[in-house]
Amino acid sequence: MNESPTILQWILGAITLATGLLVVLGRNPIVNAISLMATLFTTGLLYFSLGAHFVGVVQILIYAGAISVLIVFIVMLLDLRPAHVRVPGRSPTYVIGTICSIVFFVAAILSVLPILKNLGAIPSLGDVGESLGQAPEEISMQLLSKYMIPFQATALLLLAAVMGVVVLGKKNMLSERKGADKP
Amino acid sequence: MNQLIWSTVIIAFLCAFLLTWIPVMLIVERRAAAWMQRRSGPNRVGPFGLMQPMSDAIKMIFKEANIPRKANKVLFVMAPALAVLPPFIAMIVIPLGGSVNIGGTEYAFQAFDVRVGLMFFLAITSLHVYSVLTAGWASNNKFSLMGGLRAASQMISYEIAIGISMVSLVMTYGTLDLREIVKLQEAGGGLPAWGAALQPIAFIVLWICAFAETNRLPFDLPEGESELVAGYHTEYSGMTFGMFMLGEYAAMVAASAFLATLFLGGYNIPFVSEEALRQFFLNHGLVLTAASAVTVLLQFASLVAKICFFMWIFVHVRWTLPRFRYDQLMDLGWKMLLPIGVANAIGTMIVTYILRRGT
Repeated sequence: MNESPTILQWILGAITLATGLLVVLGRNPIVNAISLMATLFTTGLLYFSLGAHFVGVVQILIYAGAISVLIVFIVMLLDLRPAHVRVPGRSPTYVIGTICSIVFFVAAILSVLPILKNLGAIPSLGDVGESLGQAPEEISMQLLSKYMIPFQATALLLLAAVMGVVVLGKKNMLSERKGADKP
Repeated sequence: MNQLIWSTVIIAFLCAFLLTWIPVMLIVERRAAAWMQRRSGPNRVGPFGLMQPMSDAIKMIFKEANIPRKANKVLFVMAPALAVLPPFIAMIVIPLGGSVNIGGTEYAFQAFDVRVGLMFFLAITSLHVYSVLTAGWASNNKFSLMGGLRAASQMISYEIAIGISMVSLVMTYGTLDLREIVKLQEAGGGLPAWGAALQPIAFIVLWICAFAETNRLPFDLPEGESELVAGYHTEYSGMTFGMFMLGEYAAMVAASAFLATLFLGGYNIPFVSEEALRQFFLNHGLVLTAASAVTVLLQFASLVAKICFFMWIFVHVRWTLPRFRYDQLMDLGWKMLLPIGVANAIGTMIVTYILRRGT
């Protein structure tokens, strides 16, 4: 059974694309950060409209609710204004960044191309959702059996990240204390 | 009648329900404050001052909503709207009552019956922080920015404690479906099976976090008026300020409904099951639709009573406890609630394992 996207999904897709473009093209860092949040949020809503409730909720909870809050928070803390941000001219980072983004874009297009070629053959959106996201139990069973090693490896990575942050924080505190002791 | 029309009706009902709380809470809060401080409070407009919220609302609507010249206009106007939206959206997953039988089909008294309702509620309410952040930044005022940053770090910190205490609760019930959680509490025979009895520690941690998430008084540092004028809404006037107030009260109602659903049995009436109630009305000569509708209304009244309890505690605490210092707030979140939540989760894990090993 095949379904064409509904009007709601077209609107959500358009908003996702528009806010996504705003993330890259906007001049004001705060606007960029907030449109990033909007992009992630509408992506979550798209998952919802596909019936993948669990994935949609996780998308909103983690990406729109937590990670982009941190990004917005940091941009605000640094108080970046459009005037403070200079677009780099021909620095090496600029060149490397351009090359990387072109490669990434081409790779993304290539990976989506087979799907775009035969849009008619995509299984029903509802079916995909049901198998993917409606049952949190199913996902957790998969995580704890088939994908046990990647799951544990992610936990280890997160632990390493937490420890790294603690070490960095302590280091700053120690050097500050030393600095204060100096006459 | 199909599910879509039914959901639309319930969403309209929910909007009316949430908006009804605002004037009620305005007068209750002011009168309760006066009562606790041995004053009279607003008692001149209408009988017992009951028309005071009406006059407040009219005043707010007709005042000028000033936009500072150097503010970021789009974000400045967007922030109040972002404050109001999350509680209204989050409420759609709260089960308001059992099910109504219309033409042989059972319609659940809930706008959006989703299997991950618990996480849906948390996800949507976690978006509330954006209104505070954007309001603080867009005002282009240092007090506002300070308030916004405080609010952001506070809400992120307490969300972690919420997540951890949720883990232990979900392990106890074994489901993320709010309706199923209520049904389990009902099936256990009322009070002894309530979440508050099964998971008292998670209940208290979550209750404290609800105060922090709604920026209510012991945790209202984002708008601490003795330091920050009025925090993130310093520059707001007229109805743009009113929207923040509306959002705050709506968030309180949503948080209360959530707490009631998880820990106080939701819509269920203690010691009376839905079937028994429906059968009682059927035996007294009502047709099935009417019997189920009356049952659902009674259950809804039960939920409202529980929400009232939490709202009253919200008001009571506001006029009892002084505001925390900022480091005390962070200590409470990270050094008290989080370890307690983790310990509770581990304890629950062990107990659940032992209890379910036989089955």
